[in-house]
Amino acid sequence: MVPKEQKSASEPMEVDNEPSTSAPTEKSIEVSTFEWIKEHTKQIERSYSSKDSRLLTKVIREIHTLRKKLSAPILRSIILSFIHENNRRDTLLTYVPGSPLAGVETTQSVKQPPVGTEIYIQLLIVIFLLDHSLFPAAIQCSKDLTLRVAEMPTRRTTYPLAARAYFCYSRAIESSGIVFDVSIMTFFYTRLQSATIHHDNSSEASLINIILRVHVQNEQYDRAEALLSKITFPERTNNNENSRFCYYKGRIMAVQLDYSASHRLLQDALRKAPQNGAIGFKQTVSKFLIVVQLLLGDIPERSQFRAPHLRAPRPYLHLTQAVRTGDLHAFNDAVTTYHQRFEKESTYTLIIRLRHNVIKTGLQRISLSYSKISFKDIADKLQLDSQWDVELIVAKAIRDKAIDGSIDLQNRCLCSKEDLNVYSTEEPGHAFHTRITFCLDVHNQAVKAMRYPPKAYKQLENSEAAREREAQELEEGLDDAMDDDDIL
Amino acid sequence: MKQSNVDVHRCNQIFNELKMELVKRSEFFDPKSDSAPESIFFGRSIHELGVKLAIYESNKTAFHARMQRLKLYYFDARSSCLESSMMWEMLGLNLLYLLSENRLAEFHREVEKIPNEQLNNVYIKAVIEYEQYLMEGNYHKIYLVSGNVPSPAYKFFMKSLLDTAREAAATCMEASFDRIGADDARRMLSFKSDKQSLSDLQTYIAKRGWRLIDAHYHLKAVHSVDDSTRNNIPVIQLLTNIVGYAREMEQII
Repeated sequence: MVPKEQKSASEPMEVDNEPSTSAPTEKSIEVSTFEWIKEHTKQIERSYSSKDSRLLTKVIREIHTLRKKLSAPILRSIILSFIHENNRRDTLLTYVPGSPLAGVETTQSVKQPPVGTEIYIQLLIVIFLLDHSLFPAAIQCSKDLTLRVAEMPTRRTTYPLAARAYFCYSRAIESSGIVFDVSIMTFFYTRLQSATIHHDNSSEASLINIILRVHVQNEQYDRAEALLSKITFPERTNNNENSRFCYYKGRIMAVQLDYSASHRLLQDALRKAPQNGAIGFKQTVSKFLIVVQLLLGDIPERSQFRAPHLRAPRPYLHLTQAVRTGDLHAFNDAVTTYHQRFEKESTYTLIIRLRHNVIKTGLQRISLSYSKISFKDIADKLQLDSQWDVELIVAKAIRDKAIDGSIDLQNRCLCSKEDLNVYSTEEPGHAFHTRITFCLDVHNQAVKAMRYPPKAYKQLENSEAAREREAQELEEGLDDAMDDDDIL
Repeated sequence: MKQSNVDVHRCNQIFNELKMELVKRSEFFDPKSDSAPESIFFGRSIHELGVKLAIYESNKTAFHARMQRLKLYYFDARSSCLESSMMWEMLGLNLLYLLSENRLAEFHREVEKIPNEQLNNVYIKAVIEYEQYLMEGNYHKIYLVSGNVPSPAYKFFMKSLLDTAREAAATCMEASFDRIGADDARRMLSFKSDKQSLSDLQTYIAKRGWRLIDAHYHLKAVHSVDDSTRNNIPVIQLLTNIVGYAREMEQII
């Protein structure tokens, strides 16, 4: 946090990440960024000494806003200030060519900065390279960083930084178009093993998501399924990783025909995604959610298509309309027209499974509207080939309890049963049960997520210090809620 | 499939010898993408022949095992040499096998792997259409197209697919009717009208436990079980739920 914000509690609680500058010229912005990074390194040191990982996570969260302000001169000065000669200073300097920041002191403190500081600085360099699309350098630097992190698996305070490092590495590889072949995947798998053994939750979560992403992108669903069956995802990581995991698992479940699990997971992914950011992610998840809802047999509501983050959902709207009316012709039309779009969004294979949903919905509507209808008419309405096919299709629908009726073979027609009072069945009980379990789940998760500050109550504080601490915590809480943070 | 002029025993011998050669070069388990294109080509051809051999022998387990190896060649070592001419036929066969075994989750996982432009390939398209017919319940259609397979190797699996379809059709019929005329039953179960098929029909019906009462088959009623449970309350389930709620509320308070 920038020093300015440690004022009294009476200041309005605004999240204000802009560093305090007198004149917003470019030079002074750079200087203030430099100061900001220095402040971060102090916080890292503090977190080391007090073994409080919250400071570290705060630092990492602020990387997100910091990254827009990074530039080569700033980084160069940082390296010169903090990293000693023997500690790979020169290799790091090669990544950020140029001259150091003018007007800033780069004398070094005598004592060795903690390892976390070096890793943090290298992470900043990797992020800078990624942002400027310097992918070969980014790959090299991040690979170096991950190897460095791998050397010290038991330093608990480096865990969150390690998680970011892995993510940046995989992002660099993906962005430069290199195929994820066996050697790279082996690397990630071994890191995952190591992270699991050392109970490094953040790295574990990050690595699982990376590996799942590679498998899903390359359509290697059997390997993804194999991985899913062997791991338990650490629940206590930050919401973004949770959200990503839900999305990938939801996609894998959808491919394997487990639509209800997929639906639940995709909804979770949407809920856990950050409110103000990650628009692309939310768009993709929404599209899959619509398709999975259609596959389940539910019709997604119109309001979903109007959601502010969903752009150009027209193809999906047409699809939904076709499925809702049970019109096979319209469905085929929609599929052929928007073929390219669906392929690009990887929803095509799921959509061609919708064909029998169209027929099922059509049958449902027919059985609701007619008490008795001949097979020939059904065949005409549903645009099926012949009425001989219809009898078995209808029989299957009855067996699957999609429609309630009976077939009269003498007259070759379908007779619908009368409406049953739904409250006399178990349906309401089931619906209540799902809702109750959901609420209880949310409550339990909220209880688990509450944190208590460590050792804070043991110190004797005067009122001044207490007020200050409360102010800080309140701001932290607001930060948590309002940051569109680390979509790294 | 003409089996008379195929000496299965001798083929097996040769195939095993070829397999040993591959193992010696340690390429059996993992076709490395950086080995020479010719060796990948040979390895792949050997596995393709192995798969065809398994079909001649009507050996499903061998088919599945050899297919797994072959898939490694098709997907992982794809960049190393030219595409095999039999690739899509083999993949289509694999899909058909999974479908006839009713392993739908694996079937769909495999379908995902196939690039979208190949979905119209005649081998793949046929199998996808079978799957659609199965899902819709259009068993009659499956019977109609079963004579029209893209390659003779498909016939082996079509038989089991037809059996699966027939089973499903019978279950559907049990769910929908109480009784059904003999002719209709024959038609819906896709039996032909010649004598052999009629006796097959009789054995099938006897197996499913339907009774013949004056030219109508009385099916094993599935519906009546449903009706009786409609009035019962699933006591155990309700109790478990309610005790669960009580426990959670206790924790909160």
